[in-house]
Amino acid sequence: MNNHWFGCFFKTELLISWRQRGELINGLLFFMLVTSLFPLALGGEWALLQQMGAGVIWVAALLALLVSLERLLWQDGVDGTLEQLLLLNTPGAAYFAMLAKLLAHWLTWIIPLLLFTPILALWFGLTMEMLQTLCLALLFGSPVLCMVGAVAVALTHGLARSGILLAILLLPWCAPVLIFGTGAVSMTAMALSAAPYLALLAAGSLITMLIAPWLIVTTLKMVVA
Amino acid sequence: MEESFLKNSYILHAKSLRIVINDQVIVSNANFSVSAGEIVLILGANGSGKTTLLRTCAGLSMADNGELQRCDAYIYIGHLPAIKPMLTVIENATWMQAFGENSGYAVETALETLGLTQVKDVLCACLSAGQQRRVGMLRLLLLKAGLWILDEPLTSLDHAGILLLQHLLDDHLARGGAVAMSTHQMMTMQPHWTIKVFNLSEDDE
Repeated sequence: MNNHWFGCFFKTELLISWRQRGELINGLLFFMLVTSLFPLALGGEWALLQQMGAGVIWVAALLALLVSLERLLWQDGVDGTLEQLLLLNTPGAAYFAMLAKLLAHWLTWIIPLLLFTPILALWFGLTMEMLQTLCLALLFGSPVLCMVGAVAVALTHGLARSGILLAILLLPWCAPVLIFGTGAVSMTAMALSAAPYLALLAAGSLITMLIAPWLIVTTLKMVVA
Repeated sequence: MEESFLKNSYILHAKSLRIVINDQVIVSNANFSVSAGEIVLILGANGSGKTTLLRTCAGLSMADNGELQRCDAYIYIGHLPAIKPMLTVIENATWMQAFGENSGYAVETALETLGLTQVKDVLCACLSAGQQRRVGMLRLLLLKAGLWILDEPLTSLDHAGILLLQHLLDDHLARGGAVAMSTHQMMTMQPHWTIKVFNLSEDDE
């Protein structure tokens, strides 16, 4: 293999996402719409909004992920390039190629989200410290959501209208991340250190990043056969 | 090609291959092999299992029984040209080079050989089916491989495209490569090639 193949796969995915940036906006718009409904619905209950803010933003991020996950493997399945990826037989090549794909997808989802979270935090009345912790928690915990989501997409690959099945597969596994993610912000609200929660989220991300690409490639090889 | 660790230096060897999908026996007893410089034609009526057999040879499907050996460096092109429609032709070429060892063929020369120089900066989604097929064939030039597994490679190609594929096959076989191919059109076979034929329709039990 030429030396820069991981970079090549990574850049290719980002380039394709950029060329389809209209689709990326979908997820972001959904995120913003969902989060903006809560302050509207809960009018003057500022204390309640501040308590719920982190949780709402996490859930909206997860829903935005669900919206964007469907396109992760669909196009590649339709045009035949997924099979080419699975046929890579240098040891570890398919694993890293899938990791490159997942990392690129994660970036296209989380970066717009993180850019808009400060604005949303205003709507919920989150303090600067809470916002900081929330952004860190999103940064550390989102890879888990993305990778687990990708495993769910691999399991449902090729099925028509698999949207609900995807959600059913994915949501239970995301509960721990949501708990720790909102817990971190609650700790900051109580003026305690959120570091233990953030560390757990980061550890979860690292472990999932190790395992998920292998799971996805193995699953796809069975699905495609 | 340097695949000497294979038994009897076959580049692709299938013995008593039996493929069952969803409880249906698609291929019951396939036996064929190709060594350097040879081409095996998989023939059969529509629905006889040519695609399944070639996919199993490529490693995408598993055989239930039998022996299958294949060299490490091979290229599989199935019914789909396997290109990224949201990349331009030249970007696709660069992306393809990440898939294996480079053959040393320059990207520009490969585009010229396949008649794609004029459209090199066009998004592949905007190309015709025949042009997309040609873009898919870029990997045959850009990657170094001992074995080509081609499933109906003449689909969508115009006459010039067919001559082009003939030329590519000629070069590859002359350099000691091997090809396993399914096609409905016999006219592209050159007399000086070593051609083996495996007919799936005759293989019924």
